[in-house]
Amino acid sequence: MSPVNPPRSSSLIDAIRGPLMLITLGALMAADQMGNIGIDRTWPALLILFGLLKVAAYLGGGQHE
Amino acid sequence: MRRRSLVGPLLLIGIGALFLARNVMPELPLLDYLAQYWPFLLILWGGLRLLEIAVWAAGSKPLPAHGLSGGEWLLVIFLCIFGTSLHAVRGFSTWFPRSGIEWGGLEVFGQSYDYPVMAETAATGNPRIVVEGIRGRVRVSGGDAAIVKVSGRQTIRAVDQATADRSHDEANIEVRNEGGQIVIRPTTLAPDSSTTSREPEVKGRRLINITRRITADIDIQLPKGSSLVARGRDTDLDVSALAGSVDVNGDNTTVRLENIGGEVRLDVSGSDMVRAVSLRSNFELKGRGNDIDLEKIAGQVSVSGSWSGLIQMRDLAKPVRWNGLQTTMSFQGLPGDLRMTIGDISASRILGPLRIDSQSKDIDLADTTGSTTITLQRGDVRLSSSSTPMAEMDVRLQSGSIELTMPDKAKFNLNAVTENGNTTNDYGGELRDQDNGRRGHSLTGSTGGPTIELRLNRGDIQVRRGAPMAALPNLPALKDAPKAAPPSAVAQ
Repeated sequence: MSPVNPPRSSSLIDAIRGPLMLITLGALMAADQMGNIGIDRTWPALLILFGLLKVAAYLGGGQHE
Repeated sequence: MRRRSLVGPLLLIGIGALFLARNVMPELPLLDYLAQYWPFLLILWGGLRLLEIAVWAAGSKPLPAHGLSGGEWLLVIFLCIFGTSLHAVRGFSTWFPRSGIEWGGLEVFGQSYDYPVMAETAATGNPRIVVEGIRGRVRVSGGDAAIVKVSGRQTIRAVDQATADRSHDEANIEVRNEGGQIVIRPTTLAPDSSTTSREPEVKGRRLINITRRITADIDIQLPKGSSLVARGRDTDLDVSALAGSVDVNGDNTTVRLENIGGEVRLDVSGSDMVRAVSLRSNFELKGRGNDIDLEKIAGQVSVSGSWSGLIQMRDLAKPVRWNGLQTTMSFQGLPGDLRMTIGDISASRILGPLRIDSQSKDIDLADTTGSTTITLQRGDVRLSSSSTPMAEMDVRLQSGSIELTMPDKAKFNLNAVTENGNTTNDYGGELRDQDNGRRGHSLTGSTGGPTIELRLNRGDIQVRRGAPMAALPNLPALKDAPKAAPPSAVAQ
C-alpha cells in the first residue's frame, strides 16, 4: 500500500508500533461492538500502549547506539 | 530500494472478493456482517503488517521506520467512522446514540413491523404509575375504572421479520405491579430481565440499543386518582384528567398536560413543546426546549432553564417565577395573557408587583396592576395603562426607548430622565419638559400619585395621554393616540 521508508536507524519496535496499535484498536472496537466494554471507557489503553512502545524503543535505542 | 507492503494488495483482493460475493450471492447479508465484524478487519490488517515485519526482520532485511504510514492511519480512521456508522445504522450500536446524534434520517434502512400492545392490571386506590423508557407517542388519561390498561401498537424497524420478532420479545411493553407502584415499560428494562447484563451501564446501553429502533403509539388508561411518573427519551407525552401528581423526566420529550389535579414537575431537555392547561396545583418546569404554553393554572408556576421558542401564558392565578438564561421575571398572577419570544415580551393585565430583569428585550405591557420594576440593557419598553389608578413604576434601561401611555386624569408623580436623548411630552400641561443640555432631557410632573421613575441612558422617552378609561381592553390606547411617534433622533 505505502512505500516503506529506507532503512536507516529504524528499529524493530518502531516498525511494529503501528501494527500493534492497529491490532489493539481493532480489539477495543470489537469489544465495544460486542456490547461489553465501550471504547469510550477503554480508549486510554491505546495511550498506555503507545507510551509503553515509546519507552521500549527508547530503552532499545539506548542499548543499540 | 523501496519496498511495498503486501497488505495493500491483500486489502484490494478482499474488497474485490466482497463485492464479487455480493454480486454472486445477493441474499448474503454482507452489510450486516461488515457492520458487526469490521473491527476484526483492523486486527487482521495489523496482524498482517506484524507478520510482514517479522518476516523482514528474520530475513535481516531493512525495516520500515514506521509500521504504518500516515496514509494508512487515515484509512484506518475512515474505516472506524464507516464501521461505527454502519454499526449504528444497522442497529447494533451501543455507544453512538449516547453521544446524542440522531440517526433518524438514516433509519430508512429496513422495514417497519407493527405489533399490537395490550396489557392491563387491576389497580386499587390512588396508585402511583411509572412509565419508563417508551419512545414514541404515549397518551395517558384518567378514568373511572380501577384498572391500568395499555393498548396501542409498537413499530419496530428491522431488516427482516425474524430480527423484528427478536426485538419485540425483548422490548414488549408490559405492565407490572412492583412494590406498591405499577410500572409500564419494555421488558428489557425490568430489573430481573434475563435479556440484559447485570451491569447497569451495559443494560442502559442495551436498552437504548433496542428501543432506538422501536417506537410506540399507545394509550394508557389509569384510575383518575393516580399519580404519574414518566421517564425516558424521544417521547411525545399526553396526560389528561388525573387527580394525582405528574412527574416527567425526559430527553427530547414533548409534554402536553390537561386537567391535572396534583403538582406537576417537569424536567425535560430538548423539548419541542410543553403545554399545560387546567392545572389545579403547582407547576414546575426545568430544562431546555422550545415552546411553552401555560393556561388556567391554579397553583404557582415556576419555569427555569433555556426556552428559545414562543412562550405563552394565560389565566394564571398564583405567582409566576421565570428564571431563564437571559431573563428573570416574577409577578403575582396573570388574569390576562403574556407572550414572550427570545426578543420580546408582550403582556396585558399582569398582576404585580412585576419584576423583569433582562439583557435585551422589547417589552410591551398593558394594564399591569401593582408595581412594575424593569431592569434592561437594551430594548424598547412600552407601558400603557388604560385605567386609573396608576401603580408605581421603576424602569431602568441602558439603551433603547421608553414609551408610557397614561389615562386621562391619572394620578402620578413622574420623573423621566434620558441622559442621551430626547423626551416628548404628549400628555399635556401636567408635565414639564426640561432640556438639561449635555445631561440630557427630563420630563417631570406630579398630580399626587404613585412614583413613576423612568431612567434611560441612551434613547428617547415619550409620555402620551391614552384615550379615556372607557372599555378598552388591551393596548388600543396606543393605536388611538393622536400623534405618530416622532423619528428618534438620538443625541449622541
